[in-house]
Amino acid sequence: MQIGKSAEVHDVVIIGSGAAGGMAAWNLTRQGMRVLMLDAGAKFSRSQFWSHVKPWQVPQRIATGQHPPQFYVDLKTAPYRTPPGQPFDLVRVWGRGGKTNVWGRVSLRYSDLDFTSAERDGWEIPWPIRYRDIAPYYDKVDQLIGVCGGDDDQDSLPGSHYHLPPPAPRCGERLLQKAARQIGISIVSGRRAVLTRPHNGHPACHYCGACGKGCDVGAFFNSSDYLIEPALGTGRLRVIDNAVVARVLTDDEGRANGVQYFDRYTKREQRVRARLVVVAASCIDSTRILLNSKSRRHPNGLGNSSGVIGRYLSEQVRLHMFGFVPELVGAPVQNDDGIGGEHVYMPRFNHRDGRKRDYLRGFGMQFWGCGAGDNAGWAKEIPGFGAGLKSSVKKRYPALVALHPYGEVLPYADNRITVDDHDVDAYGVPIARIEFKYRDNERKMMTEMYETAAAILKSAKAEILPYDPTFMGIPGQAIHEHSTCRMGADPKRSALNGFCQMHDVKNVFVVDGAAFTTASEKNPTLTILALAWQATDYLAGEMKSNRL
Amino acid sequence: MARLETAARSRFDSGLPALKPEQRIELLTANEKDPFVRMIKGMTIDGYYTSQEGLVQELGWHGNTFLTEFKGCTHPEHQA
Repeated sequence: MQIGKSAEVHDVVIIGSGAAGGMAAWNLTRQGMRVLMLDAGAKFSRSQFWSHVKPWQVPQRIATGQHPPQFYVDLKTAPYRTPPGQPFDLVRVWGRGGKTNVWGRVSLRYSDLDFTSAERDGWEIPWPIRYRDIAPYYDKVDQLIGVCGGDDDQDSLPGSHYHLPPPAPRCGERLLQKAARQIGISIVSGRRAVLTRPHNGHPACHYCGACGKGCDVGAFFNSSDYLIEPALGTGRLRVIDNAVVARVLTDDEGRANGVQYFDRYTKREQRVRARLVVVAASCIDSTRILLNSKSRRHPNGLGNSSGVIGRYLSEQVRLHMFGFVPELVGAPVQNDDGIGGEHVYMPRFNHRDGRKRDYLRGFGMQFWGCGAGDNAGWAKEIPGFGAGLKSSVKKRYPALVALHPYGEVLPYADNRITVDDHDVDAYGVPIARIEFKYRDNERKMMTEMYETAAAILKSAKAEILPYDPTFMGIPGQAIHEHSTCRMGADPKRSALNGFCQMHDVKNVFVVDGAAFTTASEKNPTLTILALAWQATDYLAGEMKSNRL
Repeated sequence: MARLETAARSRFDSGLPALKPEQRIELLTANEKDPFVRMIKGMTIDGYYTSQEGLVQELGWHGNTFLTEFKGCTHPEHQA
């Protein structure tokens, strides 16, 4: 087949349109650069979202041949491999805005507790940046996208001067807050990228709680509406849809000079030329692209003389515990939708007050699903049948509380992504093989995560739904992959500098979760946005001073 | 299914379809840990509690609507 080539040399080609790629496009175009974005899918139409389709209407619609937007790419289009008995659930959205169309919107700042963890405990390499470096960017991101939250500030969870007002907690959340306080644990207002009042031309949330189906009015941050549309408005951004990137191309000196991609549907190969390449295809796909970008100068993959690319895959470990708070059993049912997901958050505390622990790093806790929901899946764990079961379910329904601790998984060299030339996708490009295992540190942390969730529920005198304290969950389900192209000060042990620029290939920047040195217990998107903004400020400065 | 049918015949001397409602509940309760019973119970719960009858009329859900304000918990006794 003939390869499509374009003679135009773009200032920057960005691979991916999620939080990282969107931020790069927005920040570079407003600084005058001409940018080409390659997106593996197309724009999702908000008017087609099923945000207000009621649960019982879903099967009716499907029966008549209608479909909700296909956010998630299927395994036939985008396969990956895992070893037998070692599952990893990889969730990817191909299309404008990527996973920000359906993300959980938890927007927590990393603190120096996170940035200095390796200095304190000696596990793997330290971050090359500190909170003071990134704080101005957190401030700018909060102001740009709109993050609601409290005005509190803890060593493990920095505050912000720019939070929008937090939504009022639901009854169950208030009761957990009180119960936790009684045992010395603080639960604060959550930080979520949901607009509790109109912000920068985007409307306020209307509290329908259906965010997971995509927001029909764009009242929470998504990269398409908040970043890519304004970038298109400058006239300096062009987006190619359905462009599935295979490789970053390099010249004889090993510098990047273009990108090879395949049309998602026709499978026709195309090549575009670029002075600079920004890789933002999400952690695992970015890493796959880099590992597949082999050349004489880069035999182990692009910019991988250190051998770290593909290694240290860090997901997070989490659990779900449910209970019923006695004050609300049999109470009148309220509309508990709110901003969808929790209004409160438990910051990490296990490092404080001389607490002894037999593992490294820590965990925080989310609380999505408290109160009256649009299903009662938890009822499967309530004993009985018939009228007796129905009455047990009905009285517990308003009293449901849900606890979801998230813990850091240490970076291990052998938790890794590899590619094999003989195992390829429909485009003939090697697919990712993901090897990921929890180890002793995660098991020990998980024990304390279970104990902490149970202690809060016991303090609330809640009935606890049965759980298996040895269950570690399926890796990948936190959807927080990090660190397979990590930043660091030492080029022998890291692939990027603190500005997400490759040590080996100065005109390539990797700005998504792959760039994180470690995962921490926190949801990564806010930090991805801040790092991508900082990285592209640096990129623009270097380009203007002709150093790139 | 066949296991339940056998259990019904030995316990009540009757096939599954002919059991009285209270006998059905007794039989299911005695076999609550059976994987088939768990599966049927789970599917029933998912179906019923996402239907208009189960979710709205039985449980009283009135969410997924447009609100101009979210008041959260308004019970004075639950405030911090």
